[in-house]
Amino acid sequence: MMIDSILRNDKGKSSFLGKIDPRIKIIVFFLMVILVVSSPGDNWILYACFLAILLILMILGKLSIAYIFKRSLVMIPFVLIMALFLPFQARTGEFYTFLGMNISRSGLIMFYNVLIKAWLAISSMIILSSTTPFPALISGLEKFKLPGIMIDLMSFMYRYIFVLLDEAHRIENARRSRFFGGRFFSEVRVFGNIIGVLFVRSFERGERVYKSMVSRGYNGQTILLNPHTITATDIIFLISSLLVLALVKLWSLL
Amino acid sequence: MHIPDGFLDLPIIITLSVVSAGTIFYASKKTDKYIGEKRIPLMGIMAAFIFAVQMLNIPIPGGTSGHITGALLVAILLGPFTGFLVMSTVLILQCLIFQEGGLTALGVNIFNMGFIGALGGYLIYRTLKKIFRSGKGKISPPAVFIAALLSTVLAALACSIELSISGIFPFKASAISMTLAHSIIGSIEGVITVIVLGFLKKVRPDLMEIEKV
Repeated sequence: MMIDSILRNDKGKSSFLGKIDPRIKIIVFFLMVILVVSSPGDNWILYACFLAILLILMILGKLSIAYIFKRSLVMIPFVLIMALFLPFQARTGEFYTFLGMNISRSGLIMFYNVLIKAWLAISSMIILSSTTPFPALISGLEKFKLPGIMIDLMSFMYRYIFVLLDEAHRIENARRSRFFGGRFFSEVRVFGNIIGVLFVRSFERGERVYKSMVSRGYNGQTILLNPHTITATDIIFLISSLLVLALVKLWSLL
Repeated sequence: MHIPDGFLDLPIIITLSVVSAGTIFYASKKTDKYIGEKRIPLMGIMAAFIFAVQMLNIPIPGGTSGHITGALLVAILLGPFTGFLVMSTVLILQCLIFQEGGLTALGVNIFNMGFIGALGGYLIYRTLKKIFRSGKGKISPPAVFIAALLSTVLAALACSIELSISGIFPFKASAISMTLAHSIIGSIEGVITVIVLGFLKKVRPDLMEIEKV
């Protein structure tokens, strides 16, 4: 299953990028996304620079461009909605006629600029998430002083997603093998009951997990082991990426 | 409704991220004060539950299918601030693992689906419950339905306002079509939420009486 393989995300784990400390990767990739999003539009050389950086990161992460492209398709719905509204963008200036609709030049420029920026940003996030297993990402984020409760919630959620997805699939299979379709309302009722059953099971699991944790000494403080230590390779990667990003940024300001 | 990176203007991002971060901070303090560490494992599992629920495709007449967000459901069962934190966790994970919703748009997405969806939905529900004079501990199906419908439409409207301020959508066309489309999605959310609550009331009435924060 696609979801399962993305959730486990160990595709690029053994690559160079996979061995870099998660904290360093968080700094570099978050900075990259912010720079892409805040870059002035319609600067093709700047876009080419970002694309080159992405390609280098892709090679360092042993990821194929086809894989990145396939996963970046999650942004398609939004792009489609935006394209749908494009003819309604009443702007002055030149107009093009496409399939009998008037599309303004400025609207079109904005459309492909947003599209390029969105794709560059999403691709950097895909590289980050494909080379960093989620638990490592959480332990990295913890070092940036995120509220403790959010770290705990994310860890628990990640731990139980697999269990609950399996549970949901089992219930869904049971439904499909017994229920042969009916009128809309009866079908919706069955769905409501399924969600209800899933809720009860999740709730009971939550209570059970809490009790077993308390009996092992849990008092609300989660101590995460941080197996990561920053090595010389990490420092070199950090400095060189910051240098490249700073150069690109400075150059775009000129 | 997960807005990707690159669609929003900086002022919108900053304003709504501050609102979302502030609400996360406040909600963490509040849940910490009232229920302590007791519910952290439960909330994490509830976030996984919401994730699983969003994976279940509900067939809609006309050949398509959709899914519910579950925001109002969690808010009614566990309380508004718990619901908000659970939804925020789901959104952060969806952003970091699946790239559903952009990193810079995360605060805005949490505002739309957590703040309006869970907190706003719960507020509408409570207000309607008072208007309909339904007793304490009872569920009022019309109140649940209207709250689900309204909060879904409001979240969609907020999304189209944010994007039209950023110059991406034309305001009038997007507001009308987003409201229309989401009134259907909201109705389905409402019907399912009513059914789930009715089911739970029947099989586990004790779950209705847990402390809500």
